[in-house]
Amino acid sequence: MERHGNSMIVFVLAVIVFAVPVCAAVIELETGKKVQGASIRYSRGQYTIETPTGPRTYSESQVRRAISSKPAGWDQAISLARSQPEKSIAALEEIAKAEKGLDWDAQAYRYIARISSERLGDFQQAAEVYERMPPYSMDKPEVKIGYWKVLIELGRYDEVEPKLNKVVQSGNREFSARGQLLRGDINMKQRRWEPAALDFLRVVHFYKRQRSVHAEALYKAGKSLEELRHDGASRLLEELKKTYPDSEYAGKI
Amino acid sequence: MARLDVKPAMKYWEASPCLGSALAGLLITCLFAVGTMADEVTDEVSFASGLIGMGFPDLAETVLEQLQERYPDRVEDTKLIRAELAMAYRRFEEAEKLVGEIPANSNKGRAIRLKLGTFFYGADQVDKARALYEEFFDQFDTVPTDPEMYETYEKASLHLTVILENAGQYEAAADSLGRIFAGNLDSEDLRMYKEKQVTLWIRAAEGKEAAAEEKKGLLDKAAGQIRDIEFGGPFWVVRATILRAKILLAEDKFDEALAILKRQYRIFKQIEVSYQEERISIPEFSPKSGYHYVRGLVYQEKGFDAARNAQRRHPDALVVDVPNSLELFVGGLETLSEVEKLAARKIVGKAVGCYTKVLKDYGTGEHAMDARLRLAECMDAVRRLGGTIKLTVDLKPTKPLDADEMFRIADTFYRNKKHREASEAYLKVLNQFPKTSATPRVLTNLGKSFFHRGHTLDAQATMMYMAEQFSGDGEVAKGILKLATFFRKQSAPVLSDRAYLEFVEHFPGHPKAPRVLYVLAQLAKEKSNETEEARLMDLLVARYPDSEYYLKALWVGGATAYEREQFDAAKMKFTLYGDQAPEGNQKANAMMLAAECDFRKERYADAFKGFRKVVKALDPGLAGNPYYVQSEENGDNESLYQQAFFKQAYCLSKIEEPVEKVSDFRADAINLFDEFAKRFKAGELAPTALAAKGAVYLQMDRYDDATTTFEHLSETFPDTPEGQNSLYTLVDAAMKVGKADIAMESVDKMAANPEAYEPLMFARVGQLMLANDLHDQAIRAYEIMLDSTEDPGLRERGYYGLGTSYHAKGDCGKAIENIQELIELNEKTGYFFEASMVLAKACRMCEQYDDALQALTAIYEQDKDAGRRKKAEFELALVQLAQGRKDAAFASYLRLSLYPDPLRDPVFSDLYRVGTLRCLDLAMELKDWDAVLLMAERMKQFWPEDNRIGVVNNFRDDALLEKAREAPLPRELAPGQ
Repeated sequence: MERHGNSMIVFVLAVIVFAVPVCAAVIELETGKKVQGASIRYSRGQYTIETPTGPRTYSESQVRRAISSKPAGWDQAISLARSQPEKSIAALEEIAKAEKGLDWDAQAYRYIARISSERLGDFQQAAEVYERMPPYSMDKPEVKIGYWKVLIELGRYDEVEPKLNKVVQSGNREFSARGQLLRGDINMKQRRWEPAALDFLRVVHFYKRQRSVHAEALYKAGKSLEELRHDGASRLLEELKKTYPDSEYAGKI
Repeated sequence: MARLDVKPAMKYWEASPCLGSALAGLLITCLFAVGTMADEVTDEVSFASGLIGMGFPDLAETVLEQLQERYPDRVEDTKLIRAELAMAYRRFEEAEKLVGEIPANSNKGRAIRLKLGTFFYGADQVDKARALYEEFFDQFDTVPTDPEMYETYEKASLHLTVILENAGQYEAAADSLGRIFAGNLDSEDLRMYKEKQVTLWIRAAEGKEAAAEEKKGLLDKAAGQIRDIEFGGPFWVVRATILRAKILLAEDKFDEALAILKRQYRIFKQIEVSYQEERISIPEFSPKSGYHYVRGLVYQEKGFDAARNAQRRHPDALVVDVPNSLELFVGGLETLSEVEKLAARKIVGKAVGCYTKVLKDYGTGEHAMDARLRLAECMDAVRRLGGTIKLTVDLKPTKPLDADEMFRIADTFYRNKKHREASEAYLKVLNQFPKTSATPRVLTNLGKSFFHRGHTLDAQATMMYMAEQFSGDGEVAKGILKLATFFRKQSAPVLSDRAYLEFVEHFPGHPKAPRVLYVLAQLAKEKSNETEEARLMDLLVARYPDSEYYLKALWVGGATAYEREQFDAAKMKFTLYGDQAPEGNQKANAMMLAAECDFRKERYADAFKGFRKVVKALDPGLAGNPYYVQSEENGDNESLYQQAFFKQAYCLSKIEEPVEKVSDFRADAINLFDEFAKRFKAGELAPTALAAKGAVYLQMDRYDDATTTFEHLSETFPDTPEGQNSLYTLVDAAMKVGKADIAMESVDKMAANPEAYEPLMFARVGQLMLANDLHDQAIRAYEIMLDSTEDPGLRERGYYGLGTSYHAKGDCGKAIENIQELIELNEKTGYFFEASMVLAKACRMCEQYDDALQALTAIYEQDKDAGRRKKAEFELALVQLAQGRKDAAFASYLRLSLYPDPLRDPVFSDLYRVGTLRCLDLAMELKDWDAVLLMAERMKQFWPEDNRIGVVNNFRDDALLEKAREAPLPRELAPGQ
């Protein structure tokens, strides 16, 4: 077999057995500064990080986020998500409790929310979980999209719509396109076919190169136009079949 | 399938109304899609335009209505789309009105006018279309230099030329065509356009029979232009000859026209022979078709002239000349004698012969259609002149060439490196036969031809068209790969990478896709584009688990993640590699690295399992162990085996959970270290393993065993650093596991036999002791070191260590003495700041304040670091306080406390906090109430939860009260009032 280089072997040999371990924990302060250390504890509103020069303590208000190494049982909890979603949720709840205040609690909540909505169809629980998540973790576009999808399933359109309107004007094209699709989904749910079609066609028009959303937009635009008995529906669905023959949406036609 | 949508390098006469739409669309797309995405109205207008383009004008109307409702003040911005809508619904009047309201000199104005022009042309309103195009051209004093605008300008001018030519306005068409000559055209294209311009002028001149001067002017212009054309090689010489003959014909100089053609006949023939040799289609491309056709024209004209002239001699003839007609007046032919008829018939008969030749030999060439019409005219003339003709050709249109023949012709051009002709021929055939078995090859060649012509954007567009339109087609995939290789060989790496990326995206199932991904990732690595490299490798791993590149990608991805300390990602990749690779050194390395990832993350239990797996796999004692089949790898594998063996023991000793099993783990670790010692007596890790075993004993409180182990280390490995300094190793290990007494005992042993150790060892011991506040042991170690070395670096370290230790012990005199020794030894010592600070503190302790101030002054003079100067400032305040100079100390603290953003740097924030509190205390003592209020405010602002905040508040209240007391009484309450 071809050798891919010996540099890594040398690298292994170079690992000093007694060396101080690399930092497994990081605290990001509100000032933007990052403090690295071996471990983090959180107790009564205070974070303590073990740094090579000794422990340092920061109050909650000083800390933007605290990240520690992957907690034990994480992989197992995630692996259960498909086969035993309830067990997976229980394990993740435990992790979230143990890692309270650290980044892993936010991650655990995110998975719980997804398992609740996608595997169990329990959108109410999913929404509650999202609402318990630390504010900084809600900054992530994918988390927001997940939350909004849940709210749409619960019919809480009034809460989502203003946010979507803001998102579609944002600079992030992928996020903006997804926001536009969700706006179309709301209209579809309310059987407002023409506004829905326009939302999806906006994605078709403006986000041609965002292949991840373009196929979905073609499909949904086609379907909403079908509801309107518009003769352009078949054109869009034909284009979907031609342009994205392997996509899941082409398979739905 | 859609027509090929790349920039058509087509001759202008192939331009069509669709071209007009395309160029207007191009402009509008640019205007909407690129320029002003930030504005919602512009976005919506662009969207509405897109809807019209997609065939949804009704939805566009809805968007427009919503827009007008929401932004009534932006109605101006919607004009463009309203105009487009009006056009889509063929409401030209309304469209015209709306377009008229948009300034013609704006980008939007230009775009919409061209679009409207196209619509008018489609509705047979040529004048209106022309006016709009003219308005567009009037915007430019000269040909635009901006490439995109020039492209629009060129297409618009070609399009207008077509419109005007079709409307019979030849002179205007020629002028329109002439607009683009000043642009950046290649010489071949320029000749081609000039040839067409000459033809247009000749045709314009032919219509000026009654205006001799004008006719002459046009023909002179045409003749002048021909000189520019003919210096382009034999091909252009014969084209020029045909044009000259046409000019002579227009001047009724029939014999001269025939003579000039005859003079050049040899060249016509040579070219045809060379075409035959090159297997270029003669019927399609031979210039001799033009030769025969023009001769036909001359004979036809001459024969008709002969007939007309004979009629003119008749006394009853009306003097009405109908150009190009056979009969001068009604019944004119009946006035001719048989001789006259025969003479005319003979000449026209020659024309018939010429046209027949064109149709017979060049039936698919550029003159065939006209020749067919002319032949019909001549046959009619012959018949009316009393003759009969037996045709040897079919007058019905010749069947066009089939796809294969056309492809073959284009290929011939391509093989002969005639890339302009090749690309035109390929485009022509593709437009006629967009999807045949030859399409992949044709598109590949087209891309190359474009590239050879310097049209790289067209080459890229062709490649992308292939990818998008033929996604999944194996032959096209091959073509794209060929193009990618071709671009790379032509030193166009960006284009090549783009081709590879398109290939990967559109042909994920192609057998070569994994290799391409791997190569792309390697290229990204060469460019240090780590993100792209990782993305491509991850894609390779996710998509192609069965590919031969899968393992390579896993390895490279794992190595990259490891180097970036992304140990979880690295572990995942190395684990997959280890699971799937065949037995060998590389697999062993992967397993080892997967375990290392856990080790680096201090997941010792997982790391132990990983190393154990390596140990089991690499055990050389196993019969037929596949890892030792290739003898050249044996050494590497044995080395890995040794490392893994050591690491498994070490990891076992570090596991701390579950607590009740820790002692068992440590006992097992010791057993493993013993086993290691047995197996690898002379191994390079043997002393390290022994030291680690000693450390485990210390953790288990088995001091005797630990001591014995370290003694054993010293005896067994006297030549290794660990062996030579086993006691230091013991001290170090003991301090690490918190056994200070054992450490001190060992230091005593070292001190008792100092010659046995390197001076550096004592320096290290001193530092270790000092760090753990064991000052006497530190002093002893440093003194032993100073007694045994003259190395200036070590001596500096010794004096500094002694100064610090004595100061920490409270012996300020000895501290000063040692620091002064250090400064005397090297006044530019690396310990300068720290030593000066120790000196200042020691001097303050010994009440030698002037010396303390001198030490601090030295810092101010020599150290420019702001942070260190702040620390010195703090010490200065303490010295000043010790001197009883409260005002000066207050000023020093004040400088610290008024730092604008004291929380910005956590390293100094505490210094500022303490400085502020001290300043506050001093301000109270000095009764500087304003300063008290200021400091109290700062404390509340920055450290509201400080444990002295209650005192701070009290001070603040006191200061307010005192200030109120000191304030002058109001006039009416003042004493004496």
